[in-house]
Amino acid sequence: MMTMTRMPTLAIHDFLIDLFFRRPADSDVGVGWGTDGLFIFIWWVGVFFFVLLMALMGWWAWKYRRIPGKAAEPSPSHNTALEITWTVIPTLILVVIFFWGYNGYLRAQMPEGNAEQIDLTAYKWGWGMTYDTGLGADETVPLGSSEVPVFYMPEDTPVLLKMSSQDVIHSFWVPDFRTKLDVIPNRFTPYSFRTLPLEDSDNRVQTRTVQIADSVRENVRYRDHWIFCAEYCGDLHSEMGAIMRVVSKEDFEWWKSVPRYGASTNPVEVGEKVYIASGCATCHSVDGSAGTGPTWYQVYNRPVPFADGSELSQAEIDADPLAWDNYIRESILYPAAKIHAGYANQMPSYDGRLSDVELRGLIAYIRSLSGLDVETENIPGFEQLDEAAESPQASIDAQTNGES
Amino acid sequence: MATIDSKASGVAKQDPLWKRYAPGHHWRNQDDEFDGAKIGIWLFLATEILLFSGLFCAYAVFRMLYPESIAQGSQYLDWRFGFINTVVLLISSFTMAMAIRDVQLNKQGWATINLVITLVCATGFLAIKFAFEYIPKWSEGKRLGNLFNYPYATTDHEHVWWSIYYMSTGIHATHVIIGMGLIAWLIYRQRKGAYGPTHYTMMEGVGLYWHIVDLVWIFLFPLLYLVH
Amino acid sequence: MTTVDRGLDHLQGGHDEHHDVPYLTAKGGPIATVWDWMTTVDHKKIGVMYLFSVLFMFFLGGVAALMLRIELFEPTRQTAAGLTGAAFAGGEGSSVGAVGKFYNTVMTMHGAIMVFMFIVPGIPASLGNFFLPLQLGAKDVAFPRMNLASWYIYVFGSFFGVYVILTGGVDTGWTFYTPYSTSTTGQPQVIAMILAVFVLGFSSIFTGLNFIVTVHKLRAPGMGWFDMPLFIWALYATSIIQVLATPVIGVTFLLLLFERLFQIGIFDPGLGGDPVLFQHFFWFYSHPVVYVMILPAMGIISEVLAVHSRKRLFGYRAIAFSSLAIAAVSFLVWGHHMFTSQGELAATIFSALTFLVAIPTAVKVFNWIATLYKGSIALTTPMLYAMQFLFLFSIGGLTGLPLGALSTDLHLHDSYFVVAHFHYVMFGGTVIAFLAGIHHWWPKMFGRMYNEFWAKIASLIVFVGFNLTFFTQFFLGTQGMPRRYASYVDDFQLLHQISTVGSFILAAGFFVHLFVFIHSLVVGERAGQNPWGGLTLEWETDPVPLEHNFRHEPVVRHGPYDFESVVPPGCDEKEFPLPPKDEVRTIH
Ligand code: HEA
Ligand code: HEA
Ligand code: CUA
Ligand SMILES: [Cu+2]
Repeated sequence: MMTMTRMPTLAIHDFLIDLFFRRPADSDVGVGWGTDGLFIFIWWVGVFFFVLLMALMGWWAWKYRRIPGKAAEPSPSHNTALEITWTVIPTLILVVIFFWGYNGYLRAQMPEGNAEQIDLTAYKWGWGMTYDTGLGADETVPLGSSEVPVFYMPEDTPVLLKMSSQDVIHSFWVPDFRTKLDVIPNRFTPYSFRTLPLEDSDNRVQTRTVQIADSVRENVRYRDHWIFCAEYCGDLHSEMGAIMRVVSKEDFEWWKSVPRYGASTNPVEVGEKVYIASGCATCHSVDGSAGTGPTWYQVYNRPVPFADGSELSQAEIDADPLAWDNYIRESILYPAAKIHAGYANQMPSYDGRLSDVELRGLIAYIRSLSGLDVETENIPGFEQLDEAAESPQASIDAQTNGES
Repeated sequence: MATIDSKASGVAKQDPLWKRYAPGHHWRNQDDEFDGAKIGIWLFLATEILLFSGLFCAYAVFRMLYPESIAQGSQYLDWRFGFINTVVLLISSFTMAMAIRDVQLNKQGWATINLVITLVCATGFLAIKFAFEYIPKWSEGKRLGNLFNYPYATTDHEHVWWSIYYMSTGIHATHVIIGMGLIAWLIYRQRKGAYGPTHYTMMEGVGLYWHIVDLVWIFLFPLLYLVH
Repeated sequence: MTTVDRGLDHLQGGHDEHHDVPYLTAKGGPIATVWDWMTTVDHKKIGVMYLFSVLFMFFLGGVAALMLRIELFEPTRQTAAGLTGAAFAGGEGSSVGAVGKFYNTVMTMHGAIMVFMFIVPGIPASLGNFFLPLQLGAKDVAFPRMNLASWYIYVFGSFFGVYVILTGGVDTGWTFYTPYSTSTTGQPQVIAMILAVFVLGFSSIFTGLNFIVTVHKLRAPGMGWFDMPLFIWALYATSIIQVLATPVIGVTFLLLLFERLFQIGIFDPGLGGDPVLFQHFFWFYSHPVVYVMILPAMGIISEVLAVHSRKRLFGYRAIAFSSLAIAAVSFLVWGHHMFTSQGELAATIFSALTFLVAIPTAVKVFNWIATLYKGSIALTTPMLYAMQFLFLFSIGGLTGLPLGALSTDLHLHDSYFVVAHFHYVMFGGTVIAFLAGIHHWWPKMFGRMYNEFWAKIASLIVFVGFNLTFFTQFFLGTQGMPRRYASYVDDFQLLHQISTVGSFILAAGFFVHLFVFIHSLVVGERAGQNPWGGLTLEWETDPVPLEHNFRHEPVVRHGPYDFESVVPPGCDEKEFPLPPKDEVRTIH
């Protein structure tokens, strides 16, 4: 079916696709006539008129160059028939282009009925995906000069991203899919596409071994797509990338359901994973260097000055061993509650995006960065880790239970 | 057609200013200058209309987004003050037009009287606006944006309503104030004899401006006060 | 049509004793001269003051552009800190975020300066101010004092801009999209920048209003609407847009200002506002404004092509009416900048209307090319630039088509393809035409010739540098490089490097131009009254126009492009020969 919508394979066409796009589109919308085809059509129209006009210009500029003392030979200065012709012909071409583009656009906008629904949140400066199980991305790879999260997608599946933004306007762009859509605060926008099957003939399909906690899966075939933020959103706009990794349906199911944190996973490791995967790393350093948010290095159980003049004082910390833990928890879930002096109120809320296990992992991680002991017992509630860690769903249950 | 000369028709020193008026050196004659100025004024009025259209669009959008807040908001306004102000502005528009007519007929005394009435009406408009609307509302906490702190708000987006209210009536009131300055200046010049049957460009210009200020209010009044 | 000769009138003791000296003649000592210029209501002096002001702004914007290109030479951000030294790292250390902020600031200043302070006032306020009254045979624009006020407002507004640069700049992007622009740091700078745009709007309205009235009321006796040079038609259409679109940006930025100061909740979604409404407002002004940029440029091209190929323009009426058509339709297409943020129906309508606006432009291009047919073409610098315009603007305009088509724009929106598109139309179109116009009218403005040889060399360097810089960016865009990125994936590096090298070649071209101009002002050969053999009225004035322009009020006896029947004023028939009379008869 896919092959039918592709353009007839002309060598020159393939060459142009390669030149402009590096490779044919990887989704229904862009493929064939929708976007790539229209673009190449406009290219040929452009080339035709451009070459024609420039050739005439060059030829006449040479042929009728000024010869001193010689007058230009008289020639007509208007011609209604000509005038009409060169109004009508471009008009007709433009009508074709318009309907062609309209058609492709509709296909890009129309989600398929049984699409897989995934929530996508954009924030300064990162992307978060929440699958139907509550799971998010937990792996990063380098893209350009930053570490970006990896979003797994099943092959040959219609997908609908329910997108919203936590702060300013962002725009979700997968160049390989040839379509993008703005992500706007206080509003959901739908981004729909259909992933292509991983064909053996495709030399971009790669293979690797994936390890999640204690589970290992070999020979996972995958294809990566760049995701960029295409609407200007501030300092790290250009770092706001991600990778969409299309894998086979079985591999996707495995990836989605495998337990994240093994029974033996050290909470600090959980925290470190979350630190990277949930985007904390974009703003908070762990080595004391300055960033958009306060560093985490050597801060645990130290006093904190707040923007409104109040503070978390040493006395309070000494009086209550959980003061700092609660402060962290609050800062993650309700960042605007207390603003660290010297920083702007910029952080998005993670309420509902982190499980209790992950939250506690983060606390443990921050403690460890101050060189404090990280024994599980000392972190309130971490005893439940074993049961909670079985599956992401379980961890959410654990969280709900904990609060009731 | 193109004969102009300022000094041609024996103008004497004791003549009133308007008789001695000479058009700018780049104009062919005084009529051309008058027509030019008039086109200029009309273009300027077009810019004014577009400026307020922006505000009307914003109003329409938020009416669609938050109908209950906008309806609630306009309930806070007392249509009677709006209505009185409409009448006041209509009167002032009328006296403005009369003043121009007086000047054309060289009835300088009447012109002054009409201009003064116009100015008084404008002042009255602002007085009503401030005394019965802005000040009481503001002090109740019905303010725009983050200054809003009316404790009895019943809908979520009342601050948006007040933003629209203050922005649109505020920009309009600014126009009224500028108009008052212009009219005061007209009175001063008119007393000096600057305007008469053959030269009243400035009067005409300010007059048109004043009518537009009036017209904008005629749109604002029903939108803000009457439509719930 | 009868006319009264008023020139003599003035000679016999008119009201202005300076009327018969060239406008450049100094009034006494240096202080008196400066005072004279600062208080002048002479449209020519105001035009020249505008010319230098906008070129200065162009220079500032250009420097910012080169800083961008340096940063983009390498995919990571740190380079910038190394290459441009302390400047790029700023005082905040060279953390990734700080460099990013700095890049964004430079990018914003580049865009905002180029658009609001250079290209929008650009041609109309400088060349337009100088030549509109001259071409109409008028002594001045309709409201000379308003004209001076416009310049002062422009300077005042630009001061805000410069203040912003000196105090660290803003990083909103030239489009000021909310809620980013209402939440980003730098309160005083953002407010100053908003005010700058607001204030500059008044200067734009003043110019436009003045021009419309001048065209209506101050044409020389005998000049009907269709006897006007096409530059005037273009300026007339431009002025209509300026007058009708600018107030909307005024009220938009007023609301933005209050949003910033009092969080009024009109645009900020966090407070219940609608950020997409801001985009609608913004583009309702800013799309028409791209035609404010290009229409005067098209006017220049019409003049230059006609004069330097000694040919009546092909399809005069088609070109004149297409200017008006472009002006009218330009108000209906703003939504094509927002295909990714609005509903389907709106997007579809805006896409269709976008193609509508391309048609009159295509008509113009065809007519210009047809003008060359059987001309007598002199490859002077203005002509070379006019041909460059046809080349570059065609590319820029044609690449507007995939942006206007819905499906392709979903891919290309906010990518470097857009950046390349708008540099091809704004730089390849407007700036190149500006250069054509400056060279074409230089002798009339300053009474001196420039060095043709070096000017041509410079124009060649500009051409090569420009294409290297921006042609590469089309490919960057289609391959997936988003705009406003301070760092990027390694795959794009080669194209970015070519672009950076190109931009420095381009800058070198401008410096050659700068020296050619300075050289001309200082030691240039004196120009005659009419070096190119033009027929429009400005060529009937003295080599350097008098203070009141014409010695006698001009009477229009021939059309602006009657090259086949009229010996140009002040020219020798041997140099500009006419064809035999009997052939001419067959033309019309
Ligand atoms: C001088 C300024 C100028 C001009 C003249 C134009 C002209 C055009 N522009 Fe451009 N445009 C900009 C300046 C300009 N633009 C800027 C600054 C932006 C980006 C703003 C930002 O986001 O920062 C932009 C962005 C922009 C977009 C939004 C892209 C996006 O962000 O997604 C679109 C979409 O429709 C567009 C379309 C067009 C079209 C169809 C024309 C047409 O008018 C072009 C018509 C010309 C031709 C067609 C070529 C000549 C004709 C021929 C050679 C004959 C043959 C022709 C045919 C057969 C049709 N432009
Ligand atoms: C008129 C408009 C104009 C002009 C002329 C230019 C000129 C240039 N522009 Fe710019 N550009 C914009 C308008 C313009 N630009 C806008 C609106 C944006 C969008 C901003 C945003 O996204 O918010 C943009 C964005 C933009 C980007 C994208 C930034 C990003 O998205 O991250 C880049 C990157 O390469 C760039 C580069 C350049 C370069 C190298 C030039 C060079 O051509 C500059 C060369 C010029 C000089 C070096 C100056 C030399 C001058 C003199 C010496 C003075 C003497 C003069 C004479 C003698 C005549 N521009
Ligand atoms: Cu997010 Cu750009
Ligand atoms: Cu546009």
